[in-house]
Amino acid sequence: MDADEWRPLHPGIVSVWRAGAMLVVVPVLAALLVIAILAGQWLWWMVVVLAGVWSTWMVSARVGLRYRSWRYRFGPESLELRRGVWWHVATSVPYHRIQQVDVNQGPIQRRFGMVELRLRTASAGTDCSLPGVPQADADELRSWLAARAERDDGA
Amino acid sequence: MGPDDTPRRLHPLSPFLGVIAMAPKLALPAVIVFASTAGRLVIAAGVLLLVWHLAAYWRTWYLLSPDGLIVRSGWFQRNERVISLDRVQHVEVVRSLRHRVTGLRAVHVSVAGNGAPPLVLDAIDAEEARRIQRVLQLGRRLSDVTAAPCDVPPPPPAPLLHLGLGVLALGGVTGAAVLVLPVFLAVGWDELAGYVDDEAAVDRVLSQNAVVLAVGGLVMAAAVAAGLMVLRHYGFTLSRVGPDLRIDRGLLERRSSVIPVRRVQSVQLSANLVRRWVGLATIDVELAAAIDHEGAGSVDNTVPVGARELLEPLVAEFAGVVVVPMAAEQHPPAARRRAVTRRAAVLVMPWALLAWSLPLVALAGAAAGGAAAWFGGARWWASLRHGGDHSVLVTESGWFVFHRTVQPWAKVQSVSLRQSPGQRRAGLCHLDLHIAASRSTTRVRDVGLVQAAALLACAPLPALSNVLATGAGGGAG
Repeated sequence: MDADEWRPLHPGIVSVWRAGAMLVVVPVLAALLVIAILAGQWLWWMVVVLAGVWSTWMVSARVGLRYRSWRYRFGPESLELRRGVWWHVATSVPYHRIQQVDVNQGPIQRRFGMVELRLRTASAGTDCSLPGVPQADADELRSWLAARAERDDGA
Repeated sequence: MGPDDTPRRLHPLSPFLGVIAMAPKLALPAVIVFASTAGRLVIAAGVLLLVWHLAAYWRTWYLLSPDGLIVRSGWFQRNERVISLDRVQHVEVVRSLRHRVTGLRAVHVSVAGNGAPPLVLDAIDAEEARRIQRVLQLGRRLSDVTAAPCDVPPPPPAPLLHLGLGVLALGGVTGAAVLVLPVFLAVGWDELAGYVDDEAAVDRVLSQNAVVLAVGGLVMAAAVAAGLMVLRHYGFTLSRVGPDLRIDRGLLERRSSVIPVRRVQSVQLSANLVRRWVGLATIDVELAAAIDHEGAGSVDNTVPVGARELLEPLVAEFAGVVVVPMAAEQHPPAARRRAVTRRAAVLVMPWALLAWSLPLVALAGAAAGGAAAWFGGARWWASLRHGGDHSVLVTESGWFVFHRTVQPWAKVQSVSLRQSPGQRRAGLCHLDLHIAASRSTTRVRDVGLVQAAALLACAPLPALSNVLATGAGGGAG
């Protein structure tokens, strides 16, 4: 594991987020389209157009910005994350505070061969999830983090 | 006085106390069923309840081993809960009315871990309860040195604070409890109004005696608030027992809690506007223990009220430091602009909706809202201060309700730095320190980035200050 190197997420996460956004916007757009056709009023067609703009934002621009906002690195003493489009959030989790490393994988992530690593400390306030980890690397990364947690704790 | 190898049962009166404990919750349904001709059903249900508690008593054992407290229970599903000594957060001996009548005690053992409820050993005789409290507290400390707690005589408690009736009553009158009666009456009045036939007569009586009713209501509200405070905290005494702090309090239900100082996650001194005027404050201590629905394990209102000059040195006692550093550093003026702007958005903007229909009203409302936003924002900013050294971070905020939080660095699990677009433009951020407690985050609000860097430079863990390289546009490249 290369320490001190800032990395972007795996590009495959863009497909995962895009598919997730599609699951939300497609049913909404379809429902509005049906209503507009049945109602036959220009107001509803305006709503459809606005929903189309919103969907485009959700599926393309927002996902792209979100991907570009994400950086992480394995520092010498802590895992550091930076993310957020509107609210910028930077987090530092010392390795010796890690209590548990979870590997989560939903159906969309499974389809794209991705997992999410979630680090837990003794605090419920710690929000440290690393999405877009290729499934093949997940076990190695989890073992490395667990070993670092144990080593630093012993020290 | 040490641990033993023999599993012990609870006191034989435990089943009866269990039934009595459930009585308040079951009293109303029981009366309704009894009144509706099914009296024998109530008696049968009561007998069944007693049999159920007897069965539970028969299958419940506890063992105080050198490694911790082991409790076995259950008929169909056998449960064994082991609480190791190093996970004990604090031990509380409770003496409610039913315990006082029978001369028994309940022991609440709070442990670290989210979602783990405190373990309750109800109905234990007084000496046994003291033994459990003492062994768990002593064993926790000695477990680092030796596996078995030894018979060390308890150090004599050194009193730090005692609250008299006058202070408690004043604390009740100046706290949120003073709103209990008005809220209760407001809700009750709405309900009663539906049954009144001659509303005009009621209005007439109310308007003729408005002053008397208002004064009477205020006196009653104050009396209820003072009574509630005295009931809960009567005889409050805080004392130091070796490295731990002990609190005894309660009129009907006596509670004796031991708080290990090394388990304290953060300490907060608070005072609302009224209490600041009369020189009072409260202290809340956060532990890594779960809180059950009855509040056992909670140490909110650790010191419910007290003279501020007496409580300020106690904050250092709870935080485990000799002196708490001053929160001398004020936040940048940009934080004031942000505070005023945010309040103006709420207090001024809505008046724009009336700009066309009622322009004068909208103008007056916007002007009043703007003045309130300016005043409130400026006062809020003036309250924002921080400071710290290599042991603790101190942060102050709040004008209407003032909070000073003392956060030991050693208890910080992780750090986050948050910036909204407005904060980015102004060079501000929220610095969040995550801790293992029910209030999981200590936040330094609207602090300058340079100030945040200086604060984190004090932290004994370099890993925490790495967040600055991560945030504020740095590092990622």
